Order: sequence, then C-alpha cells, then structure tokens
Amino acid sequence: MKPPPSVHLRPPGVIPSAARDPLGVPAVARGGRRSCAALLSLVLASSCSRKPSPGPPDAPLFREAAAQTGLRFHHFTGSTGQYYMPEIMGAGVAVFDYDNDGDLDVYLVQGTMLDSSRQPAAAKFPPPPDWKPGNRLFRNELNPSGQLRFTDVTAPAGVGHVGYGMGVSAGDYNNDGHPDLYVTNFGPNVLYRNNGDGAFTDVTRQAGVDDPRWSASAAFLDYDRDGRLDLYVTNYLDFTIRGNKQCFDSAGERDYCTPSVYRPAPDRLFRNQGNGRFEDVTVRAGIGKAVGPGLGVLAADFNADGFTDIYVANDGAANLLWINQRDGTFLESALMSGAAYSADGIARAGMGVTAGDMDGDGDDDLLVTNLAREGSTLYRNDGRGNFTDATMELGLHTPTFASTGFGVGWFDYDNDGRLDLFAANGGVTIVEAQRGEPYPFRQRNQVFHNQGTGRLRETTGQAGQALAAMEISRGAAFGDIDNDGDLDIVVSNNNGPARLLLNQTGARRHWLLVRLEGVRSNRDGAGARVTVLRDGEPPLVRRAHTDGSYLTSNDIRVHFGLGDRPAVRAIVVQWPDGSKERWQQSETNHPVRLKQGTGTTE
Amino acid sequence: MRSISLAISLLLLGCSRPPPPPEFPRLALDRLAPHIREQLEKAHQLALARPEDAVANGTLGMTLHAYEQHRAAAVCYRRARHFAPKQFSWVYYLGTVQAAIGNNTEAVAALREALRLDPEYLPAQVKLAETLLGLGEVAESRRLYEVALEKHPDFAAAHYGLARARSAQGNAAAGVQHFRRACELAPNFAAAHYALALAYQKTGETARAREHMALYQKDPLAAPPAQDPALDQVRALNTGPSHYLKKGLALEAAGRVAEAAAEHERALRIDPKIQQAHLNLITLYGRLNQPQQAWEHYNTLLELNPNLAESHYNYGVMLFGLERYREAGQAFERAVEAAPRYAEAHNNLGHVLERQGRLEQAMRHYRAAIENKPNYRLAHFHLGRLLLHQKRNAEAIAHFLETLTPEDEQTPGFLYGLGAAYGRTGDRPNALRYLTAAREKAAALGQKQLVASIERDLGILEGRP
Repeated sequence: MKPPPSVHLRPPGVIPSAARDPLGVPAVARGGRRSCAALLSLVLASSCSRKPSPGPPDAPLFREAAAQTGLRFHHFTGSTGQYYMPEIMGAGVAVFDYDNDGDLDVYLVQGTMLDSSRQPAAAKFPPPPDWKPGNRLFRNELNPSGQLRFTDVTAPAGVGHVGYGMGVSAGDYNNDGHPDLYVTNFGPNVLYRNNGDGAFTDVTRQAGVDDPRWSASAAFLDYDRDGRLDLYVTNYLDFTIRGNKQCFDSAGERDYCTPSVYRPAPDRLFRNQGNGRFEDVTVRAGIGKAVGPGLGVLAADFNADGFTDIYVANDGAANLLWINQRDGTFLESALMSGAAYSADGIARAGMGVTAGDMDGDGDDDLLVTNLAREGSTLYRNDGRGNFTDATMELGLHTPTFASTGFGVGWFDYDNDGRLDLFAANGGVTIVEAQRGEPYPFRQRNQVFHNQGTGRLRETTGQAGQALAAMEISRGAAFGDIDNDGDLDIVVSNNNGPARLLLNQTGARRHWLLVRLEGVRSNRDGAGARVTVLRDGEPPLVRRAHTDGSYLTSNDIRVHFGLGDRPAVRAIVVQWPDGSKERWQQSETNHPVRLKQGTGTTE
Repeated sequence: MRSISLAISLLLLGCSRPPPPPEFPRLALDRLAPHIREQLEKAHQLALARPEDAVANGTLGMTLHAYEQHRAAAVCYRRARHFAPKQFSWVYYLGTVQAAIGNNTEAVAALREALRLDPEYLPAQVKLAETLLGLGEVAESRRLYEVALEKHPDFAAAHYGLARARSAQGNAAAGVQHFRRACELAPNFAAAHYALALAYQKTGETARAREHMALYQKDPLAAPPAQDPALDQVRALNTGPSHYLKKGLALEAAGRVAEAAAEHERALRIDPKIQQAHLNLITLYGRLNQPQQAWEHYNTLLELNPNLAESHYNYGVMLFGLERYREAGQAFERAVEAAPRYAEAHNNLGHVLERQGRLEQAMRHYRAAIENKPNYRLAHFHLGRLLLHQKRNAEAIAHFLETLTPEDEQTPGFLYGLGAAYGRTGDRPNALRYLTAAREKAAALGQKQLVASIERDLGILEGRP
C-alpha cells in the first residue's frame, strides 16, 4: 500500500486528615440546625448572617490592585525576534488555597529564553531589573492579618520551576486535603505534590504524568468515579525551535505563525491509580481517536447522565466533546452535537473555554474565545449535550468580533444570580492600529452583564480604569481573593505584569460560597453540581471546578450570587460519585463547608 | 436687526456644512513586503498629492483594503465619500471594511447609505442583512433576506441567511425549509449542509442529519461563488504572493495540477523566498512527473531552511511515487531527524524499511507514528500487518480495530485486514463478519479489485470450491 500523500498544500502562515477546617465553620447541619457560636470563632470577618457591604453606589466595577497588594510579577517571553510561537501563547495563573488558611493564594507561570545560548538581558524585551526567573507562588496574608497582601513564598515552597511555562492546574490528587499543582510547559511538565507544611515536592517522574510535548491547559477530573482526581492534558503543536517557520501577515510583514502550519500534538488522559501514580490511558479511553491543537479544556457533565465529560477547545480545528461512555472510555461527539464549529461550520481558533448555566435552565453552556474577526462562540446546551451556536442571538458576536480572546469565565460579578462574562484579550498577530510598534498585540479586556433577557450587554465601560488598559492578556483566574463575597479576577499578561481585579460591586448583594469536602468522592468535590433552592426563585446550579479559562486554575469554592433574595431553602449537591445530598440552609453572606455524608441523601 | 439676521444666517450655514473629512491614516509601511510597500506608497503619494480627489482617496482605500488593512482603508473611504457622496463604491466599501473590523453599527449605516444610492445591488443587500444578524437585529435581517428573495428566489445565500434568521427567531421548521432550499440550489454549500444537519439532529432525524453532515465534510469551505463585481475590483489589487498561492491551492483542489504549479511559480517570481510555495511545488511537480523541477525546489528549500521537515517528507513522497525507494527512505530519515514526532514521516519510513525487509525497524517507526498520532489508521494497519506476520495475532487485531473509524474509502481495506486477522486466529464468526462488511463497503465504493480479493478469501473461509 502506498504511503499517504504529501502534506496538504497550504499558503504560508499569514499564513494552554484530615486537615484543620481553616474557617472554623461547621458543616451545615442536617435539618437546618446551625451553630452560630462556632461561627463566632472564625478568623475571617464573617458572621452568621452578614449583611452585604453597601459600598459607594457609583464605584467602578473593578479596581486593579496587584502592585498595591504586593502581587508583583512580570511575565517574560524570552523573545529574540525569531517569532517562536511559544513566545506569544503564555502564560497562565492559578488561584488556590495552598496553605489551607481560608484565603486564595496565587501561582503565576513564567517564561524563559527559548534560545538557551542567550541571556535574558539580550532578549528583544528584557525583563525588569528586579525580575527573577521561574514560576512564582504568592501567599495571601488576608488570614490572619485581615489585610489583603501577598508575599512571594516561591523559594520555601519549592515551586519555582524554571522552564518555558504555559499553564497550571490545581487539584488534590492524593486526597490529603492539600491542593497540588500540575504545571504545563513547552517541554516537560511538572507535578508538585503539596506536602501540607508550606512546601511542595516535584513528584512528576514517580507519578508518571510527564509529557515532553508542548502542553497547554490541564484539567483535574474524576472521570471513572473512583473518588480520585484524574488528569487531562491538552497538547498544542509539534513545534521545535529548530523547525521554526517564517510567517507573514496579509501585508507581507513578518508575524507569528498560525497553528495550521504545524502538526497538532495528541492530548493525554492520565488515570489516577490511587498510589501516587497515574496511568496513561489515552488510547484505552479512546482519547487518541481525535487529535487537535488543544489549548483549552474543562470537564463537566454535559448530558446530565451523572458522568463527567470533557470539552477541548482546539485552535483552528474542530473542538472536541468527549462524552463519557461510563465504562472508562469516551466517544468524541462534538460534530453531531453542534459544539465542534461555529454556526457556519467553520473551525475557529478556540483558545479559552468556560462552562456554566448562563441561561438558568440547569445545564452547562459553553463559551469559547477565538481570534479577532471570528468572535467568541457561545454554545447553548439543551440539557442533553446538544449545542446551538447562540452567539448572535445573545448579542455577543459584534462586541467580541474585534478581540482575540484567551482567558474567560462565566461569573456572577454583581451577585444578582445570573452568570456574567469576563474575557481576557490580547492579539497573537499584528493588530493593524499598532503596526510599527515593537510589540503590536495589545487589546482591551471585556466584561459583559447577563441581562436575564437572553442577552449579554458589554459593561466594560463601567469597569473603570481596571479594564481600560490595553495589554496582551492570557490567563484569567476567578475567585474571591479578598473573601468579601464577590468574585475577583487575577489576569496574567504576556510580556507584562499580572493584574489583580478586585470586584467592588458584588458584595452589595447577598451571596453564598460553598466549599465541598468529598469523602467517597474526591476530597475537593471537583465535578460536583451544587444547586441552591429558594422559594419563588428558579434553582441556581453551579459546578465545583478549577478548570476552564485558558492555562488557568480557578477557586474550587462554588459561588452563588443571591441578589436581594437571600433566603436559601436548601442546598443540593450531586457528588461526582453519583450520590446526591441535601442540606437545609437559611443563612447566607458567609462561606459554608459541606462534607459528603452529612446531608440528607436524595 | 439686520446684523442679527446676518448672524443667524451665518450660524445656520455653519450648522448645515458637513464635518471635515478625517485626516489621512498613518501608514507604517517599513516592514511590509517590498512590492506591497511600493504599491501602497504609490497610492499614498497620489492621494497626498490630490487630497480632495475622491478617486485618489478611494484608490488608496481599495489598495489598503486589498491587503486587509481595514482600519486605514475605512479612513480613506470616508475621505472619498466626503468628496464624492453620491458615489456608491466608496460608501459600499466603507460598509464592508467596517463589517470586517466588527464595527457593525457603522457598517449598517454605511450599507444603508449605499443601498439608497443603488437599491438593486444584491451583494450590499445581503451584506446588510448579514451584518444586522451579527448585531442581533434578527427581525430586520429577516425582512431584508425576504426582500432579496422576492426578486432573486434562487439565491442560495439569501435562503441560507433567512434560514439562520428564522432559526434565531425560534422557528426551526422554517429554518430547515430554507437551509434545505439553499442546499438544493447550491449542492456544494457546506455551511448550509452543516446547519441543516444540526437542525435534523435536533429533531431526531438522525439519518438525514448524517447525510447532510457527510455532504458538509466533503469540503467544509465550499460555498456558492460570491458574485460581487465591486469587491472584485478590490481583490484584483492584491498582487501579493499569497494571492497566487491561494489560487494555486484552489486549482490543486480542483485537480488542475499544472495550473496550480504555474500559480505557485508566479508567487515565487514576486518573492523567491516563500518556503510554502517551494514546498508545494515539490509535490506538484512530483504529480506532474517532473522530478528535476521538484528536486530544484527541494534544494532551494534546503538552502532557505535546512530544518524544514516537510521538505524532506514531500520529496520523499515524490521519490516513493517514482519507485526510488532507497532515496525516499533517506528523505524520510531526514524528515524524522528534523522533526522526531512527525508521525507521517515515521509511517512512510516504516513502509520503506518494510519493503527492504527490515521489519523490526519498520515496526519501531510504525509505533513512533502511532505514539505521536494515536488515531493514525494507516500506521495501525501497517503495524497490524507486521504483527500478524509474526503471529502476534491479538496485538494485530487490537491495532486493526483502531482503523475502523472514521469511515472513508480506506475502510474496506482496513476491514479486510481485520477479517483476515480473525481468520488467522481461527475466529471464524468474526472473520466472516468483517470480511462480509469489507466486501459490502468495497462494492458500494466501486473498489472492484478489492471486492475480488475479499471474495476469494470469503470463499476459502466458507469452504466454497
């Protein structure tokens, strides 16, 4: 049999213990009994039923506070003028509570010189004078000091990997109550096991989760319902420094290549064996049946069968929807489910991805960020895992058309109970208006308010100076950084400073923050679906996850905005192992911890 | 009193005067390709020399537009419109570039204005309808598509657009009706087939859904030709190499190989260093049985970029086609050396090694191909054959099973292999099952030789004389 034909002809490129309960918050009791006395011992400034903070009515939606709080980090691309693709793609960020003191710490991923024969000072964009190589971990000092302040604890923590960093995912893979970190690179990836004493250990080799390819986003998920977090790693392209290609834009100027000029690299699925080791089950699970240039990934139960599925955003190729077959294998189903392409059947440059119940019908809808002149794609779920491209109808096509989106998240910024949207934008090819500048890729981030009428309205203009900057944003991690009840965002910028966007709006309304503790399920409760029931209001459904966005890991706590109707009748949790429990809950405006086995079984 | 009247008259005159045109856009041309820079500089100089000449301003806009410099083009078109407000082309072009950069509100305004100047220009009607749809103005978009169809009932693109609008309004049945009509009018309209497939999927008509999805997948980018004489004038200004490369690719896809090669050569006359053009020409000249020309482009490419794995690969494929197997193997070796994860190069190298009787080495490369592309059916098939040869039947079958999806013209051959493997293991029911399936699919595809081979083996299995 003859070998396959030559490469497809293409034009030139214009061609991702039992731990101490840190909050001192008892699990919400069965039958609605609570202990306010226990709550009074909280380290945090919270109470049984704290009122929302009033705040000035006309304050901008967000306030940028990175430098002010000590979160000083500048991403270094290592660019030498050769337009190596990894330079323009990174990097990511994680928000997670590494020391279990009840506040979110921040891990930022760093680049390095791709040409190892040269020093950073010789780079096209040298780093700032006080720059240090390697990823950084910043500890949040909110607890116990009460002040939002970050301290660089990279050295004692031992997580300052020096490599060409791309993304990071946090997850407690060994169920010891301490979140671990998986760092992806252009090059070998790293698994850091959290020792629980402020330090981490690199256990990549022992765990068997290395992948030397160009990896992007990763997701911890429990796909086989054995109570242990497995790991999905997207791989992007078969790019090598040696094989770097020259690409040009439509006006013939040298530019970064599009992914179509390189071959895609296969993703990986690692099954957690429970003994500190993972097994590569990519082929056995069927994941090898489709290969694409993966950048974004998240895990959710899209067809409501109780098993976690996986969605992968591929860059310039069909997105993938891996439907869990409940037997350890997956079936790729994006095409016929409507989630592979945009409405016109064209592959978009899928980078970031987020899933959430944006239309309040109880299932997870998808949003994928794409290139400028494509617009983001919003896939509305019918509850059975069939999707419709509803971008235009929901008013998102035009406002996202001019932006190249990366990090993205559904999040309720004003706590009105509806999921809003934030997109971190930044070009990958020359932005026409900046032609002639040294690094012409800057764009503005965007925020959209969910009107509840079936439309999303851009409210970037109300966000204040925080969203006025034109930068090259990549990762966006969502979480309540200052523990005031509304969701904040940490944004990582390519060749630029990290940004901390503190929400100044949401805390005016009622909210609930749920921390799950799995017992038969994974310790984090990752993959659980949490429903808040209120009289006279539709159910609010959210999922516990750290995945999604781009190269990013989010707060595992499940946030609910409750608007002006704080009375919660019950919280129902569908755990990743398939079991369901209910808690009676009437108090709000503070975090709650729900431990598997302490609710009423449904 | 008279002075007050005069003042009022002057004030009113000032209010009715149109605003001044925007300043010329700032053009950063230094780093552009030389011939594009020259072309733009010439148009720019002409416009600067005649700042109030609508044609000079508009031509600069068109040249920028041709090279996708839409923001700068928009400024020039606004200037041209200022000096010639009744000229359809400037305001139409302005609408199209505003849409291209996502300024849909401005695009709608310009397109409406263009249609006031020429109400019958169909591409402008469709563009306006499409832009309104992008803005979420579904009802207005629908109305415009319906108006277009009143005069042009067989306009496939309008049926497609109307289908999208109706579907967005929640009328799935009307959406299906118009998607179907678009497909009937333009059988290669990929986007319409795609949309229709998904519409059928939602209504549970899965057979029809699969039928239209298969039609879409034949060529996902295929669409009825966009007939827009005004925009054709803009496109004609793009004389850059990528223009010729695109033409060459389209010709290659249509099977017009010699013409495809000619367009690629044209691109190289403009810029001799375009690596993709040289790369494609290796393949094209191979297919034209002109190995010398292929070799020349291969050598040029080696000078431009010695690490380009695809150049070795394409050259190797050409040599293999000429049955120069040893040289082909050397080329594939260079390809995997340049790109160790190049699955296709590993597969091809394995095939050459297999021909040379170096089976263990061949298997290593087939495995490498699979490691880097787990869904690589051909590599699974080749490895399966060699494993079968070594009587490692269970492993062979595992690899043959990986070849069954997706279904295409290679599937009958893969099913044949699987059936044969089961036959070797003595699993007669599975052997019969897969051989029968192979024969049916081969027959459906008109693969007569394969059918004959399968028939022979089936005969043996069934004990027929």
